[in-house]
Amino acid sequence: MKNNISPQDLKNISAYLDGELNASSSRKMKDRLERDPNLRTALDAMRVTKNILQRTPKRPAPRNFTLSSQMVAKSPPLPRMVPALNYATAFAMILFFFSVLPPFSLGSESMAPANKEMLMESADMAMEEFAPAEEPAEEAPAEEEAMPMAEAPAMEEEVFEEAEAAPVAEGESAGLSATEETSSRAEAETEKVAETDQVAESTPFASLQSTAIPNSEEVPEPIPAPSFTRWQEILLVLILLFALGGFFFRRRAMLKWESQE
Amino acid sequence: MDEATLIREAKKGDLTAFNKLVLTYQDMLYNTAYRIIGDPALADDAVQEAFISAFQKLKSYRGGSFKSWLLRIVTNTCYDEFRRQKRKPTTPLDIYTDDGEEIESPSWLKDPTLSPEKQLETYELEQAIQRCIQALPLEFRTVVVLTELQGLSYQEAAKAIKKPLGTIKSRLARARTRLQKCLQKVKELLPAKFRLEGETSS
Repeated sequence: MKNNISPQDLKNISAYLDGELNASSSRKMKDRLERDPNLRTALDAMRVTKNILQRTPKRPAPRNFTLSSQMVAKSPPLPRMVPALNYATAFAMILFFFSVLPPFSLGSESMAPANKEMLMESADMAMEEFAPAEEPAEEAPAEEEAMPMAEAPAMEEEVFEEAEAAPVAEGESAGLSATEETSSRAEAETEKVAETDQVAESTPFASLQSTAIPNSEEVPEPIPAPSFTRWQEILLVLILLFALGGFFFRRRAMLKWESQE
Repeated sequence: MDEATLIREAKKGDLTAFNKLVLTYQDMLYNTAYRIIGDPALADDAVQEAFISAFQKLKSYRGGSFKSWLLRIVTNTCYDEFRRQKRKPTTPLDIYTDDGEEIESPSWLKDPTLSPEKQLETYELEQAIQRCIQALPLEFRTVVVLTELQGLSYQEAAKAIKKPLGTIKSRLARARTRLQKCLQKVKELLPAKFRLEGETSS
C-alpha cells in the first residue's frame, strides 16, 4: 500500500504533518488526502511515529557541564618575564653554539681583542699549571709507566700553538714576552723528555693517569678535557640562569592559576 | 537576568553568566548528543566539548535562536566524535553491569513518583526508540534528533547542519519511513497505546 506512494509524496506528507508546507501546497495536499486513502494511511503512520519519537523519555544530564576558567583558558596567564627569559635563553644558546663552531670559535685567529686577551690569560694559566708538574717529572720513579714519546711532543706542540696564536695576532710586547717564556719552558721540557723518557709525568693528564692506573702495562689514552673559554662559561651560566628563571616564573604562574580554581 | 543579558555578559567573558546558560541548556544538549552518538560516556564528552567550544566562539554568535546555535555546535562536536570513533573500537549501546547483565532499569530512570512497572515501560520505550534511531544513517539520525526530539523547524535544522531545506525535508521523510518500519518490528516493546495506534494506522 505504501509502495504506491512516491518519495515526493512522502516528503510532502511529512512536511504537511509538521506544518512546513506553504499555503498553496498545504491546501493541495489536504485535497489529495481527502481523496486518496493511501495518502491518509501514510499520514497516520507518520503521525504515530512522530508521536512515539516526541514521547521519547528525556535523559537528564548526568552531571553539570558548567565551565571553570581553567577549562576555557588554553594556558594560564604567564608574566611577561617568561617569554623574555625564553628568548634570552634561546639567544644565549645560539651565541654559545656559534662560539664553539670552528669559523667563529673563540680560539681562532679572527677573534676579538678581548677574547685574545682572555686566551692569553688562559694560556698563561695553563703554563702555570704545567710548571709545578716539572719537578715531579724529574723526581718520578723510573718504574712508573710513561707516555709514549710521540704523544708527549704532540701535546707540547699544542701548547706552543696555543701560546703563539695570541702574540702573532696582537703583536704586543706583553704577549711576546709571555710567548718567549712559554717557548723556553716548553723547550726545556722537550729536552728533558728526550733525556729521561719520563716526560709524560710532566703533563697533568699523564700524572693523573699514572696515579689512576699505577703499574699498568697498557698505554693510557689521554682524556679529552672540556676546555671552555671564559666567554663560553659565561654563556653557559647565562643559559642556565635564564632557563631556570623561565621555569621558576612559569611554575609560579601555574601554581597561582591552579590555586584560583 | 534574561537570556539576552546572560549572552551579552558571557560575550564579555563573564563565565558565571555563561554557566547559567549551560545549566539551562545542558539537558537538551546531552539528549541531542546521546541520541546522535548512542553512548552516554561519549555524549558526555561531546557536550562538555560543545560548551567549551561555545564559550570560545561566543563572539561569533550574531543573534537569533541561541538554542539552535548551541545545537549546531553540539551536532558538529558529535560528528567530530564519530570521526574519532572510526579509529577506535565501538562501545556497546546497552547498559551492562559488571557481570555482563543488562541493567533493567538504569539509575537515571528511577523516578520515585513512578511505579516499577511504569519505570520499566518507560525504559523499554526509550531503548526501543534508541535502537531504531541508531539504525538510521548518521545524516538521517541528526535530522530526526534535531526536528523530532529537539523541535527545531526545518529552517533551523537546515542552518544547523548547513544543508538545503529540501534535503532536510527529504531526509526527515525517509527517516520517518524507516523508523516506522523499525518500530513496527519492536511494537511488542512499545506501550499498549502506541501498539494500538500503530496497528490501526497500518
